[in-house]
Amino acid sequence: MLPNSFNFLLFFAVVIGLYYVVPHRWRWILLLVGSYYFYSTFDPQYLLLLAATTLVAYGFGSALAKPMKQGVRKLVLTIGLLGELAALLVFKYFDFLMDSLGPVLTSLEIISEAVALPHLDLVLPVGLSFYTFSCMSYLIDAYRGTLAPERHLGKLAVYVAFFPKLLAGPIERAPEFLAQLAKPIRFDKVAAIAGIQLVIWGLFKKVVIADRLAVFVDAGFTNPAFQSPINVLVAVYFYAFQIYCDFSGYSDIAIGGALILGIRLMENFRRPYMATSVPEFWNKRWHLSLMRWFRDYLYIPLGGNRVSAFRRYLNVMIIFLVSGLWHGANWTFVIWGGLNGLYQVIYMIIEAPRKWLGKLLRLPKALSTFLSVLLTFHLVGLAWVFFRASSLDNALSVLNRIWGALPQFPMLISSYNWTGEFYLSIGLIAFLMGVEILDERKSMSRRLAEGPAIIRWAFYYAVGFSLLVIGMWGTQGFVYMNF
Amino acid sequence: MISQDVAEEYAIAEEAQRKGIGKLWIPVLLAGIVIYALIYAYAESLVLETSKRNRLFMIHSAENRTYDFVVLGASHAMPFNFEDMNQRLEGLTDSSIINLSIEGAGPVPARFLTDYFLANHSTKNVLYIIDSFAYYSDQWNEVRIDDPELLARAPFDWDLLLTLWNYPSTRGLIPGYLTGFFKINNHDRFEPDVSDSELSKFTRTYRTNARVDERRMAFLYPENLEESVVDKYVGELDKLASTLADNGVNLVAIKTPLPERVLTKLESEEAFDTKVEAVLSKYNFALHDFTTVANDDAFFYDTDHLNKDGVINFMDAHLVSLLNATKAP
Repeated sequence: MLPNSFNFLLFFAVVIGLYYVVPHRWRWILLLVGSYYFYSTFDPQYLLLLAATTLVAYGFGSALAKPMKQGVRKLVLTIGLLGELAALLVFKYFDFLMDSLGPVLTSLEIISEAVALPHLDLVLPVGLSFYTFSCMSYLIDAYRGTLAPERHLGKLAVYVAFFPKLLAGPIERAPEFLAQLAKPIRFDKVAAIAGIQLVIWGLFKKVVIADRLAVFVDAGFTNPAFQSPINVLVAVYFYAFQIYCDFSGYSDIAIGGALILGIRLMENFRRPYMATSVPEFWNKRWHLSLMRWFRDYLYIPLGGNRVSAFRRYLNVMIIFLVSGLWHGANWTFVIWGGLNGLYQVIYMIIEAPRKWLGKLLRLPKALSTFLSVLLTFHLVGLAWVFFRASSLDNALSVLNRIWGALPQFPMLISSYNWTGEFYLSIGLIAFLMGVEILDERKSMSRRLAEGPAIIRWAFYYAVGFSLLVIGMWGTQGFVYMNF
Repeated sequence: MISQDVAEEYAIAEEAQRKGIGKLWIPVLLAGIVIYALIYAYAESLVLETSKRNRLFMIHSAENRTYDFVVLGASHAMPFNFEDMNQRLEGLTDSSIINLSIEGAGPVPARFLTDYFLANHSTKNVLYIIDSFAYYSDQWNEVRIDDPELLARAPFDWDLLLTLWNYPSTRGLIPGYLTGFFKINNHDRFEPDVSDSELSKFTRTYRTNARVDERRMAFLYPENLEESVVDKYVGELDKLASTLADNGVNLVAIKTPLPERVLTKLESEEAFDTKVEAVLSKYNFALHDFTTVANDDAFFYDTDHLNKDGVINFMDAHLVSLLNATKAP
């Protein structure tokens, strides 16, 4: 049951209806049953994994609440974290490790070519990386003493499995979430309206934009060597917007959906393609909940910014390589992460020359911002090629196809098949970016709220009727739910 | 609400809520309803303008008379309606024929279409082109009719609504059909609904490819057949035959030619035929097996579908005489 399906809307409507009827003390049961039912629609077997992950968090979290020596606490935490990581290791990384180890062991003549390393061929449960990270953050917070471990297993299970965020986050922190769950929540019309608006905006991004662009992207990334270079180039540009609309669309639906239930989730995206640098893209605009997770639980423990320049560069590289692996068990994701880390290291290294060049050129602020945004977008877009590609060969083939045909592009553009769908896609991207540019200066919601009601409603109708008329319903799942 | 900063957006929504839309809510609501009605009307007019092959559209727009033959079946029955093949068959048999075959349709879709057809029309005979694969999975049955695409070109019709309600697997489609969503959201709204097979393959001759054949056979005929599934859908055939018998309609079931390379791989056909014949004989209907005639590769446009030469050859050599014999009192 995908969140961009009619069945989900129906399911959600039933949950909302019951939620505000059921007394506060029983609501956790409704949310838990609803969340587990929602998860079971993908594969009932996954429920065991979800429950096991929660039980590990609960058991070790409770153990950490008891007085014990620091060394023992550390040991308990380590075992708990390993317990959480075990599922990821088995379902996500085992086959990748075997595939990567095989050639190394063969070249070192430790095993012969005839020996095949074991393979599990397991299907990755949807949302596994997300709820595993939620459980890990819970355990680390319990170890650090920043939260009192939850005594109520059911409520902790709701924190882990809360259905709006279950498939692809935001990776919520336990203290904020559990505190909200503890308070009685009354129906709030304002919150419900704001939530519905955000859900509709998220659906618009996913169903109208992302899934439309996906058709061009899938075509361009399939056998790129046999595609027209312009198709491949279009696929690369469109993918930057597809992945943004797909993922932030899911976050909108999750945050909006939770808000209707009176629960506030953290912000996950803030107009990422308005970033003027790659560090800004990652630290302030893209997948903020994951970046906050890595900052708090990996970057700062590694020394953060309070170490030598070299160690800082190394820490950044570690964060992004791990982030790449978190996204997927494939070398393409490692390279994607590595590239993004490298961009940031280079950005830090050339800080002085950048400032010097800025003073020398003295470009008008608007022009300099525009060029920075453009450069950042292209750097991030280049890395997205590895993120989207099915293999390293596929990624290199895409880049070769574009690079090799660069001189011919004027001719190729004139012979491109300019379909109605292409124009519509470009128009939708322009609309999205127009909204984001306006939003960057002054919140679009505020503009709409301050403007005449007729304009506000024209905007609502435009978005709503676009969903009806040109939405690509029921075609694709969300990209990030597979991580 | 555009941003995910919940606190800020809540404050803005609160402010907008205070201001409200005052007396404007009636014209705003009316404008929404009018826009929706206009979009619906335009979608409905496009359906009437561009639809050609959609079976629900064909039934809705079919002349209100008694037909000589209704053709049912899956994709192997569709070539008999490609280009001018149906008119050719009508001419050769001096009959009125309407072809309601649907790609991948098993007995449940056949029953569904028959029920809708018989609600407002009548026929003397049903020519049912049987494919065993369509009895092996719900994919070709309940799942097949639970398909919004079928309704994307179906004009609004109370009889169709009733038929949708009568089949549990299509009840979920009723809201989309009633609101016109499937038509409003049809992405091929400006294109005529002619299949790729008819547009680009029908006149071709297949160049045999063992790997393609293997994939196709594995797709249609799974290795581990569940007898209970086959029995369930043979039961659906029983219901179809019973409906037709109750309405005084004669059922002629046939199996069309298949190439030798496909036939040799169908191991369960005899057992399947026995089950089908047992059901049909209860109602004095018969199964005619033409799988082994005209099975030259030159008569197929892909692994197993008759091309134009194949259809003409089969019509001239076998089908016309069978239909004429069926029509004879």
